[in-house]
Amino acid sequence: MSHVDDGTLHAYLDGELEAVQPGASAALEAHIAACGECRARLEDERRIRDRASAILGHAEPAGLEVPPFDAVLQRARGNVGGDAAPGSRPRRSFTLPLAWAASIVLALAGGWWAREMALAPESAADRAEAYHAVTGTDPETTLAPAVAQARSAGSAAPQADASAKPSAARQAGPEAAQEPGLAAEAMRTQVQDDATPPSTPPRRAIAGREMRREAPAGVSAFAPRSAADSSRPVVPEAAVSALTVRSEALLLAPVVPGGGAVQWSAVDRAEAERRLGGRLLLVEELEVESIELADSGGVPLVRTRQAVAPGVTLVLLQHTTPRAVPGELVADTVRAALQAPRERTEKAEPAPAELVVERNGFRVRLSANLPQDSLRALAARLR
Amino acid sequence: MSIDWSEVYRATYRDLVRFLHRKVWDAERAQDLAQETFVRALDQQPENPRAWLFTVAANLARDEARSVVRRRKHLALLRTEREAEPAVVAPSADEALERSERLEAVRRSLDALSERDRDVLLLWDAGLSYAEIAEQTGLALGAIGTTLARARRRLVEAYATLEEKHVARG
Repeated sequence: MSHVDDGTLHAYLDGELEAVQPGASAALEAHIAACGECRARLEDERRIRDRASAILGHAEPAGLEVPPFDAVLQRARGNVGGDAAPGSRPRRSFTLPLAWAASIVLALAGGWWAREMALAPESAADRAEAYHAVTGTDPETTLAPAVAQARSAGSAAPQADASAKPSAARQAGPEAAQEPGLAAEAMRTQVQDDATPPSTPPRRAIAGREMRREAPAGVSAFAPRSAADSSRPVVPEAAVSALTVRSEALLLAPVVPGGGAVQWSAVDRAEAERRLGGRLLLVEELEVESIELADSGGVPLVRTRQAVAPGVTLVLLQHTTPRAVPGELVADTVRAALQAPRERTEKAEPAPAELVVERNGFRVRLSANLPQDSLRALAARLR
Repeated sequence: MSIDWSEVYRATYRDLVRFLHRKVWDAERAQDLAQETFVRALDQQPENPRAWLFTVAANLARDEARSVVRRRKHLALLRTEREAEPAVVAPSADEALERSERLEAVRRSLDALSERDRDVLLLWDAGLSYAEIAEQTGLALGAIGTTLARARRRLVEAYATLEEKHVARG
């Protein structure tokens, strides 16, 4: 027998040689007994094999626990939207994603319409027509309970309970009338909370682990406050969780009708802060690409772009909180926030993630083509 | 043929996570992908569960790699965030750093292998037989030993080189 090749030695060391070549093990052992060179090579290859295993052992996932099989079964059942057992070869439902999409459109349009009702009840007929155009349904019939809550939210509204998961429209509470955006904001939060579409399996919660839920904290941040609290920021400085997480699908919602285009002009930071009447909120660690100012009804809007990474821009839209801003301006602000990032990312990526945070008497809308938790991390660094 | 999926799960889950972990380098993500693989298996009911599971897992990991740039940006941000936080686990910080450096060295060493060699090595390490590896990769059964011999040698050499550099840096 000629000298043994490395592959045969490794197959022998792995206990697989018989499977590869029946009868080869005995021949190899006989050869090794007689050949000092191959015996030495066998030991060399054994050391390499053991060393490679040890190296790979450094990359073991730490603290690996096996979740119960039932949890995976449950997840599989959820995957097909039924109670199928293994072996039944269930087929994925195509109607389920469509149902989700329909419910999201309905809820988003509802949020928009409810906010408009609170913003300008006198123009309800116009809004209802627009709602009908989007959803094909009558808002009075499909949204009556939620809108009634938003409309009647006043002194009798109960304090929101952060531990529960109540209707977002109810969460808007007594400030809905003063802060027109809140009812819609809260509804968006509800949409985000409920709309975890089944079509994104790789990001589902790991069975046996607790899924991180952001919406309850976000909703609680918009809980009703007493008049005595009105001077404080709606969102505490440190409460990163108190952010309204907006569904990206909202970008498909209709823009508010009736508003004119916002004209932007480049300014420096000092001018922006002078016009805002306060500090421009930025992520100080990031390079500022541009600062632009727009004037709408005498109230300044500042749009800042910061470079996060090559090709990734954080867009910040800062203005005073809606309490101090005329209603139409809020509408302009929403439209401007939607338009700003879309100009750059429409072709390259899906709609960017967005967050809204209120701080120091300002509302800042953050938008970037990043994962939601990265955006949240950036929001936490807003100074 | 009726398959006892709970038994397949019990026997394969850890191997699958280990395999995925060395492809995505995120323990939580590896577990998530492993579970997603089983969810798909329960849906599809493949006849050869073990080979099927590793094939699907490898595909999921490959899809994962396509978004690697995006994820790295994400991780960089989170790392910055962690650095800004006070070190509440100071006693184990050295240990964590050491583990992190070792993990990175393994990752870089595996990167030094060709994709085919890496796949074969990881599949073997995850517990697949030569026959199963051959079925999954399309290699001839007789070529698996040779591929493994080459992959192991390159891994060991690449890791040793990194260790030398690390020592030289002090």
